[in-house]
Amino acid sequence: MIRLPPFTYLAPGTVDAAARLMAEHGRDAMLVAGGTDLYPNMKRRQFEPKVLVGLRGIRELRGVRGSASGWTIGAATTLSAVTAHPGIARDFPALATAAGLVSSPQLQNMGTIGGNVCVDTRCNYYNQSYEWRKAIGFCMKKDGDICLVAPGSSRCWAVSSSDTAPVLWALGARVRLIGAGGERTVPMPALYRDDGIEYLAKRPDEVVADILLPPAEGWRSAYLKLRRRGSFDFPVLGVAVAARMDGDIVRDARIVLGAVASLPRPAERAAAALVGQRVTRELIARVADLAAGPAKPLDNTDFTHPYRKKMTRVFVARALAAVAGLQNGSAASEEVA
Amino acid sequence: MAHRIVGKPIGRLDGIEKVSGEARYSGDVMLPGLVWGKALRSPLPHARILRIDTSKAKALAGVLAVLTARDLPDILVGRRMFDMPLLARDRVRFIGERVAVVAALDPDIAEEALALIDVEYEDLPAVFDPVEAIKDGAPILHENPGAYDGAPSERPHPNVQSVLRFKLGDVEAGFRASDRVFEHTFRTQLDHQGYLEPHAGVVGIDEDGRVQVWASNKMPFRLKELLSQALQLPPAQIRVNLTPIGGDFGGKGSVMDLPLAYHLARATGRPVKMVMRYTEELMAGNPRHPAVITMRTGVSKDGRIVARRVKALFNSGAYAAFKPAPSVNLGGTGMGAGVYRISHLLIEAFCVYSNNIPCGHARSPGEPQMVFAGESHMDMIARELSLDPAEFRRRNLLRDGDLLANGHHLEHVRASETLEAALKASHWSEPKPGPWIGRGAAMTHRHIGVGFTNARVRLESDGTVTLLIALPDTGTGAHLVLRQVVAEVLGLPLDEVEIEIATTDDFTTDSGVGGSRVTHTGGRAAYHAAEKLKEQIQAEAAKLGEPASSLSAIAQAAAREGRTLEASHFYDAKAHGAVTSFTAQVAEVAVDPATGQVTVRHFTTAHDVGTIINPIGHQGQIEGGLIQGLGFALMEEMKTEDGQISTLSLGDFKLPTIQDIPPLTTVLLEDAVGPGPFNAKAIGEGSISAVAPAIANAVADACGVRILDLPITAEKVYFGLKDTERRS
Repeated sequence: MIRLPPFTYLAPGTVDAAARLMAEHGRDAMLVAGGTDLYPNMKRRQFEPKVLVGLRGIRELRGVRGSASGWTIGAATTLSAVTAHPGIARDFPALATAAGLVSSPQLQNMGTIGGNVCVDTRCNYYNQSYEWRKAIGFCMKKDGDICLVAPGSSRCWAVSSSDTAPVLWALGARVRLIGAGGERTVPMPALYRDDGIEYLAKRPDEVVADILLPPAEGWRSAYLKLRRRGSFDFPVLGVAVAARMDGDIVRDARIVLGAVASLPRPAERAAAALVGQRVTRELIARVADLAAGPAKPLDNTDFTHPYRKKMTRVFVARALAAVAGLQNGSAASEEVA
Repeated sequence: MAHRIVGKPIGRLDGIEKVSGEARYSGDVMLPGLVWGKALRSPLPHARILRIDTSKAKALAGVLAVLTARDLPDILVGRRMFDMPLLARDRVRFIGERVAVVAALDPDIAEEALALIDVEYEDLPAVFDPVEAIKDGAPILHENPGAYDGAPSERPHPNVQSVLRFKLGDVEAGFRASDRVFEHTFRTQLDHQGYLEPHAGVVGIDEDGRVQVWASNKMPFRLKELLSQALQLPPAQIRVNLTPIGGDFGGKGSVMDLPLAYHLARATGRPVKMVMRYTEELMAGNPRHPAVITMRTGVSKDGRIVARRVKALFNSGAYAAFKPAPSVNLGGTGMGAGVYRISHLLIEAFCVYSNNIPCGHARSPGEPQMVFAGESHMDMIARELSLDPAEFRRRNLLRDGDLLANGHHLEHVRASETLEAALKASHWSEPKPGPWIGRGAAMTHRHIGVGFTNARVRLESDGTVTLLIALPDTGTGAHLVLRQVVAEVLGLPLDEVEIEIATTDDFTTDSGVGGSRVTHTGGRAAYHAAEKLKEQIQAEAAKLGEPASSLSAIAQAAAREGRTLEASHFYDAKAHGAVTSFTAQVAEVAVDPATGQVTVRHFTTAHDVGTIINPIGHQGQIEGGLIQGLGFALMEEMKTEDGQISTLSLGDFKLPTIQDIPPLTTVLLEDAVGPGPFNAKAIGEGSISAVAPAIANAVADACGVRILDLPITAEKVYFGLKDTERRS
């Protein structure tokens, strides 16, 4: 039994009100939607907010809406609802897959897509009880000033552990942020920073309100996840591939890697090598080699980093084959290793 | 013989109350004035305690008591060997050892108080690996372990807790007579039992000065004895009250936090509840011993085993206190001989002190480790001999009359039939369905649990029967089995037999739950008590002279004469070593050559069983053990670096999920020869041990990679495949 520390829970009825409350309470406040990640982290004293601004009561944050300009997913839509939505499953199978691979079915019923997009970065030296962290010496992500995975490093290397973020990035999604001073819509890459601590580039008062997906228009997508068990585990590697095909020629492509850095890591050279090409086994092998380049996992998740690096190549190749319709037999959307 | 209720697939009658939260476990017990206890644990693996300052904690509002070793009698506790202090005194020996304990009005205050306790330590040299721990010059954990109560006398090194040997013939002569000799070394991991209910207990002192205990402990009478020793109180002054247990798997037999809860209750004058957090379970429970096992086997040209020598080092951690056997070792060590006739055998197991979490009993203690080593070794030898692994086994299987190293000559041996049944059901001899698919077989056998149990049955005035029993149900459904036995004997419908849970006041003794004994000992005690009651009922009916009189009429007639129809039986089963139960398992796996990922496509488990009292519960034991074996084989590991465990939640310590469970074929070879009621045998520990080697053998068959250390993770297989590529 680990107990939550005391905190004040505020339940605004609108996103604007939530943003104002966040601005008002400043660094003492955090946003919470499903709470599946935040509450356990609070129990371990990884976060110690005095105020939680709850998003569960805000109706405008829930639901999936389709239009000629694409799809809009309210940030507080549960992961189960995203997975089960027939329009999402049809247009963006990688997103439906990724949302359906987050943790366990129970947590997908509670957890939201906005929460998964903003999920805290993880590290074996950080996701531990307060006493454990105290015993080995606090790290810079919380209560300390050193990095235990890369001693001597001036930055934190905690790992982006979202399943949906790399997929949304690959699909060209944008996020609508509503802050106390107004709203803005930014592309997914603009939401993240390459830092294990300050991994989000949004202001603390900004609420992720919607996720905006462009029309599918010929895009195909796939997501593959590496983890030890068939359920429950965070990704220790995620590979999202999206490609717009014209027959068997690639017109446009994005490859984004999850869980290999403090933010989703695009493999831009690899994606560029696909464009204008006919997809063959040889091309896939070359692109997979290129894609594995930007993956720089460190030894701070389950499985060793050399293995995760090696698997990046394999998973990219398989995701590409799936998107190009070249896979033999198995349509597995997940790799449990 | 056909039975009415025995053998019927009756579902769990306590299921609804358990899944709805109605069931009251030890952690749910509330008493007036109850306060909460919490322990402060050592952050260092080996250190001298220079100073403990509890003043700030004591000053915190809501804190009722803060105790350190100085406040407690200098008592060492244990289950057989008494080497563990209640709280660390001057020195800590593992990360997680308790150094102080707090009682407070609520658990939050207790936690806050722990953070205010200031302990100054001085590091001592530490040792973590069992091979290192028994070298000359290794840091010594206990200066004079031989002086501890219950300590075995043989001690080749101060860091050796105990040595257990099994011997047949002359092993060196056997090796000389062998045509070929093979030797392989295996390692298994530190592994928690994975029960979902952490250790929990409430201790209160009642108006009569008696100590009332509610605890997640499976051996109430042994607990009473152990508490009597730990608390220096006469046994009669202690009452253990039974509660449902949320999983045991071997781990719930110690006093754990109860003596501390008692001392806090004394200090505060209030009942005290202590519930371990799961993090504490994973850092300071009493998990399965990791092992380093070397198997050396000599064989003849025609593939017969001539001699085997096994040396096992069990990394026992900082204390021997959690091991209950008189040997202070793991009985499963004997399974180093496997299911084979070996004329010249020497097995030696050393339990070794190190600055790690102290290990204890886990479902079939020592066997999953030994059977992984032994059955992997068998396949490796078969490969060298160019023999089909099943054929190599066939040539060496135990037969009727064979002598085991424990001194028993076996009877009713069905090793061969069990193996053939598993091979047939798994389509062993048929071609494999594709490349990178492999099959692996493994076998084991297990004795039927023994012990002693009291049961009392009473005819109630409404004609129902109550069974009074002091065996807790650890979640296995044992109570349902006992009710079925009584209902069968008395010819009653199941719902007319109620179970009443006794306390340690109701009987004088009971060996409790463990070693797959409950169906046997509890079942026989209930059976004989019911038989006696039946005789009383018949005699009473005869007196009444009305053959058709109802049970309630009989009970009421007796009551009018001031009598209650009631019968007790104490069943004491000594070793029943001649009959064992064989298990043969076949795993079919697919290995992904690009990732090393192992998918268990299908699993077959065959068991030579006695009469099955409840097929649902029986199958539940088979599947539960098998899944536990699967977790041990493929994913569970408590990752440890310098004594520091980093997998301290059920997110990081990876028990299998339902997604990880393969399709299963079960084959039961029923043979009514067991010592249990209606000739039942035992099933609780039969299915766990052969799973890992069956999978390891299947992986080797699928891709040529032999995994010698558990768990069999994708990355080990992947790098194994890369090694093979490099060498070829």
